[in-house]
Amino acid sequence: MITRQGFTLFEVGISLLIMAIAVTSLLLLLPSGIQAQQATRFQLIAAGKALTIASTIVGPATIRQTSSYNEGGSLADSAAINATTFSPDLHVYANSIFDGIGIAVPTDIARRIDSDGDEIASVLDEGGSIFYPPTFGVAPMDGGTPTMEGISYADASIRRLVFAFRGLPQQNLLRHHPQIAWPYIQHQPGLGMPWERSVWAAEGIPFPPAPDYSTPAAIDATYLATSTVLAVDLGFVVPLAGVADPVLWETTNPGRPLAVACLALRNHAHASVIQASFGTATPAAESQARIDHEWMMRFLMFAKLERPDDCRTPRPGFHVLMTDVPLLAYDLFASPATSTAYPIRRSADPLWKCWPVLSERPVRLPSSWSSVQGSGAAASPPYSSWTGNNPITNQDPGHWNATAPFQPAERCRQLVVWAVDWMGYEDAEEVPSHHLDSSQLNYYPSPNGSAGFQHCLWSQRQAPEWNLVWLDAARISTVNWNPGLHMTTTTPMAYFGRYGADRNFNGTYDRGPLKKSVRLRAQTIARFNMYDPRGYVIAR
Amino acid sequence: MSSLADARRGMTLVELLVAIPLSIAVVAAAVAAFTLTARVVALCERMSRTNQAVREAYLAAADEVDFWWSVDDPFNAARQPQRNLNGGTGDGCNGNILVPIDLPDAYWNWDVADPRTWQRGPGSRHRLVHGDYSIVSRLDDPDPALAWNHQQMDAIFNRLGMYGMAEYMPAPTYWWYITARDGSGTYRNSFGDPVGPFTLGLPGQEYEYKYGCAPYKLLANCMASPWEDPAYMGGRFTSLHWRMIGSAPCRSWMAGNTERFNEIARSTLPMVDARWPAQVPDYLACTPDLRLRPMGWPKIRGGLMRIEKQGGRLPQLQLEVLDERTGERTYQNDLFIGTTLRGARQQRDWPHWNPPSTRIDR
Repeated sequence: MITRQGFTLFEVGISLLIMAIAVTSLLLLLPSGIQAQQATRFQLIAAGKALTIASTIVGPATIRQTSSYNEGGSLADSAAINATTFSPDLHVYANSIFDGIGIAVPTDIARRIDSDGDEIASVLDEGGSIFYPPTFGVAPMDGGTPTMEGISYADASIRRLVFAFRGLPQQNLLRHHPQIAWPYIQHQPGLGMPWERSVWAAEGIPFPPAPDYSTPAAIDATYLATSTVLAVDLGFVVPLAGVADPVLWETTNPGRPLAVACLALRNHAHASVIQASFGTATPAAESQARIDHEWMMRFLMFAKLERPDDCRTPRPGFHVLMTDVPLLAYDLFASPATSTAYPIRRSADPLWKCWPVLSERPVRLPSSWSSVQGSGAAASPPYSSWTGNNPITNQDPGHWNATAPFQPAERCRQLVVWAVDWMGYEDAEEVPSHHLDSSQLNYYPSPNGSAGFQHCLWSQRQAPEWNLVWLDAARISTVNWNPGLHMTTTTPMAYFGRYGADRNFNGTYDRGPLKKSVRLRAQTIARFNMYDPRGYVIAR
Repeated sequence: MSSLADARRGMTLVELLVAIPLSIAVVAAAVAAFTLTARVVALCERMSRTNQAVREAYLAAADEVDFWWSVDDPFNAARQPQRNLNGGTGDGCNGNILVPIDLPDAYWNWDVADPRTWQRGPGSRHRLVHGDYSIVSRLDDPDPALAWNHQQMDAIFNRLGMYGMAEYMPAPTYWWYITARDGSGTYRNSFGDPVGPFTLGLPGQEYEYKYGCAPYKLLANCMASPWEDPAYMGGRFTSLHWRMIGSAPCRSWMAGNTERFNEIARSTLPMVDARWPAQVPDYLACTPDLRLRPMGWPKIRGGLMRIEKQGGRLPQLQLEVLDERTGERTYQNDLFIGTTLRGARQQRDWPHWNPPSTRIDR
């Protein structure tokens, strides 16, 4: 009897089931390959972005036009008194559209994103922001200007990246004393600024009248006047030969500050060169002008290099150095000063408070500010001064730490990069912009006592999303680099980005497929440890 | 006999009707799986190639940022046009970034306390208010200490052009110097063109200009454009706004459509505003190796542009990826911290100003 053995239907079924599981498992590996390649692309972009952020420390665009040291009539002009204004922190550098670094993700959306260890939520809870990279840069290689439409060609992978900084920055140094936008750079020789009156007045010397160069005779008279100041008021004459010795001058004139000698020599050199150029131009006048000028140079550079804490002399513009900027910081461990105890340019305000200013060594600052210039021999109105005490700095070794040794970890923060397709939300371009950080705005006191924010800075710098915001609820037009649009030429809703923004830079209002109720999981891409400076640095 | 009949049973029609569709379904699933797998594998390969190409482009740009090969190949004398004072075409344009500077090594010293390094003059665009500062110092000043600064700037500018000025002079330097007087008292620039005469300005103009000053002297609203004043180096008008001073890449290294080498060498760059006109791509150095690729691979162009910005330098890379199979084009922009021109020259074994063969000691 012949027996046949074969597969029963049940065995076939089991075999097929096992084969199906095996094949399905293999097929499931295929998307992993795509994900791995995507992750590789994200890592490439993240590494480039990290280096881009670091490079902004070399030359940050966020301080463009805002960190110039001005030769203004009033020392208090442009004095930004907010501690966090232009703070040199990584998250501030990162919040910049000009360098193509980052734009803050709207809070409404950021709160819908989960991450490993709830890092994103922690950043937001600490008051920080997460950023998405804009894609601005040079024009496409085939030509054309970087319009909004053109930028949409940027790698779509970039738009899925978000980043934030973990860890907190240390207290920053101040850009300048809150009362004085020091240093003041001046062309040397120059004509002097009205605020210098206090330097002269402190020495009992009349403020020199404005020079008159209208005629050769007037030039000669001006030259004589500056010579008289030197000879009579300060007691020395610039010889026709010999090298200036500021050290010797200080030694032989202990009762006179070097600052007033520098100012007098500056005025004299200016008049001397003018006279040798257009006045009684003789070979002797030319020789004297050379000597006068060189004496001025020697005294000014000695003051700059050897007496950097004496800020009563404008800094020469021909050799600006880091030592022109005194190291200052707010004393956060002392009781805040009030308007009655601290000099301000406004009426006493019981609600007004300010941290005292610390420096490692005493810094001597001018005691006046003035926007009054005056001209000719007519008496100018007296210079204006602060109500109360003159601007000073305190010294407290227990509170001053900016120059103390530090461990690298104390100033390092960690840049974390995630990948999440947040632009897929239905309301990604509809939710309002990230909130305005008022601490980033300058608070400028003004001569008449009223204070105001420099609002244009918000639209130009502190709000990187500004150029993308929709102008109205129709969401058809954006600001799109229009310099005519700012606080007074747009509605408050548009100004604060309440209509949302064209966040994928394609010029149209898009609605993604994801419902706003859906939570997204961000994939951690990379981490980079980065140094966070405490003061402005430029690498050159 | 009946057992043999039983043993040769075949499939019934019902069994066939069931088996055939099942087989078709299984084969179809297998084909679909295979097709999907093939597509996914192809996609992964394409993504991998793109990633590899982007990585190579980025690394090539990083190398270029550090070694400046686009402007000077240290191993190929035929690709060193920027060592030629008169440009690669011999058409008289002056100033290339790798030209030797005929200055003694003593000029290498930039001690801030050394009076020779101090600039003497108003540094003002409106010279008329402040007088004739050739009295104070100038290129042919009888006092070597007072001529020092002018001589250095003259040598650097005439050898290296605008980029050299930005590179070698300290950040707060005013970009100007005073040329020499000839026997008749006429001032002439280094091209021999007369400049001047000086006249007295009007009173009350002292505060006509308000300056933003160094170290961000290169800002658009700064007084840093002394070249606007023909009295002090006439004929070298160059827009410094947004500092589009660059070093043109060698021929075949450009990414744009127009050679800008001569234009840059002549220091006659067009003004560039914040919106980057169409000429910008022409200033990008693009490593030619990236154009060589197997058929079907994405086309990568990595353009590098060195930008003088806020007193610092930020080389910018723009990667362009073109997938010719799908037509997809994407861009990526990044900034770098790279080697300076001074470093690039020293990389080529130039100890100070000059190559060892042209070292001058005096």
